[in-house]
Amino acid sequence: MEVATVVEQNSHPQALDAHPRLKSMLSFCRRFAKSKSAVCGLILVVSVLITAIFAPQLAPSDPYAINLLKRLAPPSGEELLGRDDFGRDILSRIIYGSRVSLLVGIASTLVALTIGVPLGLVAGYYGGRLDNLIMRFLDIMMAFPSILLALTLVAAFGASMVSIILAIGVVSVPKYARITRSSTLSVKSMEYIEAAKMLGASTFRVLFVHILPNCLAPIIVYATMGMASAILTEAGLSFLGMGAQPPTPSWGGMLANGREFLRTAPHIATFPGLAIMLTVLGFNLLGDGLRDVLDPRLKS
Amino acid sequence: MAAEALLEVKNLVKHFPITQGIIFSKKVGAVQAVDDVSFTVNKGETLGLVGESGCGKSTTGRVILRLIEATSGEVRFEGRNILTLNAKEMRELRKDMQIIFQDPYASLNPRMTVGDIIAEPLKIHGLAKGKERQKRVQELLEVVGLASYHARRYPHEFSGGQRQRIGIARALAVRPKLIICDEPVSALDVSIQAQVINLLQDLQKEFGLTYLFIAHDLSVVKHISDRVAVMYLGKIVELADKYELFDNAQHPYTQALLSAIPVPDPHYKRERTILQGDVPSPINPPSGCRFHTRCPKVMDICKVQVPESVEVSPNHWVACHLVRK
Repeated sequence: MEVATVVEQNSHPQALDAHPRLKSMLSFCRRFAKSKSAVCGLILVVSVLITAIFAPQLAPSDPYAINLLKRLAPPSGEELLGRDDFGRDILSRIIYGSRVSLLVGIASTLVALTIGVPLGLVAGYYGGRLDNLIMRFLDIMMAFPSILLALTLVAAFGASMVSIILAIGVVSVPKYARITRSSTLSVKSMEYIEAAKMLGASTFRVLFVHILPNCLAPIIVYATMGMASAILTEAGLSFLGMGAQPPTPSWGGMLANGREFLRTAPHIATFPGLAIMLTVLGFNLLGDGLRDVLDPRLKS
Repeated sequence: MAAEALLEVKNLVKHFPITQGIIFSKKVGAVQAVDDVSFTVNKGETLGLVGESGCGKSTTGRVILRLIEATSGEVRFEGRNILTLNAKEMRELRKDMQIIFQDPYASLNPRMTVGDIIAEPLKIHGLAKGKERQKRVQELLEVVGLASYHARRYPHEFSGGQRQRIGIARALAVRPKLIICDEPVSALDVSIQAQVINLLQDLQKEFGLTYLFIAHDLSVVKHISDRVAVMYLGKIVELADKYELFDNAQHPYTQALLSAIPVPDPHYKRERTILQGDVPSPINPPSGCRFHTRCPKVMDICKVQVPESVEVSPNHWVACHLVRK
């Protein structure tokens, strides 16, 4: 009886069901487009991304070229954002600097995700003593200011790009573990997890096929915002001289460099600061928007 | 009945410890969810397990399936005590025992298509691959009254009754011998309930299934069961053939339960046994017979001595001091 009514309701079942994943993607895009902050954030993030990828084509001049005659030159028609204390073109350096920021932001977030998410899953799923052990250890890590911890790690392993990425990644592990753990706690008590166990699924399968996909929304949102904070941390490290080493252009380093000339040539510190602000704002808006879009309660 | 036992439960006990303290936790008590429960389910029959909410019916079902580990006791499936099996042997055994859940909205993974959900047991146990697996999924969908094109949809696109059918198809995929139905229809509309129950009965005939049917709805249990066990506060108080139990209930609790079934006749005057008070806490259950605090026929002995289960007539077991000769 029920079957008959079902078939009637969907007179074109084949057409509707041809691509269920495509269909859900489409509805995701529609909701995404409705969220103003998500779209603004996406535009900012994508433009930074494009800048980073096409830096050689976009930069008006060589970011390393020193021109002492034009030292501290203010912004003008020729050099849009002026020149720094070595006479290097600030616009070009900002464009190249986006590579460092994005690389560190994305790579360190990936590092944090690959360590933090499994830890959180295991802690939340097994609970008890193992949970206590993992979470208390992460609590200890969280008790240190992250920039201080990252600074110490970079100082210990040397200021290379790899160690910066690893340091920032490791420092943000506790936050990802916590978020994953709390979602795991709520998902693991659902009946479909019991059903999976009943079918004989291994623990690995239960964790990664059943629990993880249902915890993904908050993790994605946090990872987007986490990129913003990773970029900030990297800028902070560079500002303190522990980030990308000169003459490699990085926003934090340029900021530190411009600090000495804040009174005489404020443009040196202002523009990299603006670049950091816009990028971080972009990631935060995107994260905020994604949270709204991924919240199942708002699904219609 | 000369039937062969498929599942034997002997003196099954499940106590959930209550602990205090965060790091140095100590046990301060226990919720006695299931306390010394014994029964058998014969091949091909349906045993109904009824009782108020919180009396330990679902826990019993889950302990039998080892979704919850028992505190003590034995669960014998085809003669083997499954409580002592290791994880690998247990995984193998999962092909023979399945469960249908109460809430069709919570028992299907929302991120998987229906096809993936039903194919999962086949994948895990390596029962079918590629084209054959797809064919099996479509067969299963048709068996439970859905169409094969439904395989590509997600659970949220279905109604409660349809979702329950998907859950049934998933349980059937491994061709189990025993299915524990954990209140499979209590979350559904009355009109859909009948459809799902008829489906369960048809499947039982078609595949020779054995059911342990957990429910709190007596009319549903009466319809589907061959025998019925009544639970109160973690103990089975009465167990008998369906007709015997409904016509000749011996335990005061069963009598009270039966008198609560609505009768579709406004002129019918009947004797109602109305129980006073609430179910006592399973953390600190009453001494002696657990029902003595609410029993209308309570005697002195009930407060001191736990009544043993007595066979008052063939296959009719009652745990009450009243029936003692």
